[in-house]
Amino acid sequence: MPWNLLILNLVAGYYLLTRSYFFKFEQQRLDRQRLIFESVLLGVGLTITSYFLRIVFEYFSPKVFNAIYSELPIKTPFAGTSFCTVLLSIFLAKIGNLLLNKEKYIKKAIKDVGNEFELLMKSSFTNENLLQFTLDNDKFYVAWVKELPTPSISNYVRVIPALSGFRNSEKELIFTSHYLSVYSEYIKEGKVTNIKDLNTDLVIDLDNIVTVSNFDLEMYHRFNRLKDYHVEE
Amino acid sequence: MPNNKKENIVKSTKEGRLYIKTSDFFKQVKVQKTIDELLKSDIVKDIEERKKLKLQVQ
Repeated sequence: MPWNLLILNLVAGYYLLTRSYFFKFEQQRLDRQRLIFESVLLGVGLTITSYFLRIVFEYFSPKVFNAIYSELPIKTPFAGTSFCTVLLSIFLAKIGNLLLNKEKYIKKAIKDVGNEFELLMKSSFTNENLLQFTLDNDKFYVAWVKELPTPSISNYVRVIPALSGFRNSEKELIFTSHYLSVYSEYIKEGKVTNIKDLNTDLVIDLDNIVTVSNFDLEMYHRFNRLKDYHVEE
Repeated sequence: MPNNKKENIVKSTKEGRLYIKTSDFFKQVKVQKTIDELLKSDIVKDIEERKKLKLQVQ
């Protein structure tokens, strides 16, 4: 087998790894160098499968096999098998994507290989919990996560803010704005007269986030009452 | 309909972004409950009072 044909097997492995929902969402979250080695590994698997299919095809339909081989423009040994490896990869990715539940595999990838930040975002997204984002300019937002980004593609997170404010010199939270009246109006009426009123999505650059934590109203009140009590003492 | 199942409202893109449309987002019962709780909370009352004070000063 000529070695330059192996590039097709590598392409087949890369294609399946980056296109199939079964693999791609985990790959997006892993080290890029792993992509090369896993492409090779998957390429080898696909080549073996393709070679096995060729043997079966040749055994059961030798005449058809020879007829196809005689029509091939390239007569290099195993060229047909290598091309079939690429076709097999495309076929598996396309058919697999039709059958697989995309959302399920995105969530699985976050659960399996997502970092702490992604896991917290997913928790807010799934359970509708409020998160408190503190930025490097001492501004903070209490918000729901509306969109989970793709880590290798986007460095931003889209949220729906509920409260916002800033941290004072003692790093205490000072609330200055809330967006709840508009939301409440929307819920009661089912719509707002001006749709622009609801364009309150906030996009935060992940590089500007200093900390993210869960925001629980009851805990916040308890903590502050306790703090006030200590101050009075 | 406030009782939309989560699976029905979560959308995704081919590249792996998960998102919820704004209109669907506010149909979620827990979100509506949280908004009500926050509106009744001391935090929002403080914000409103601070706004009133600002207006009076101006």
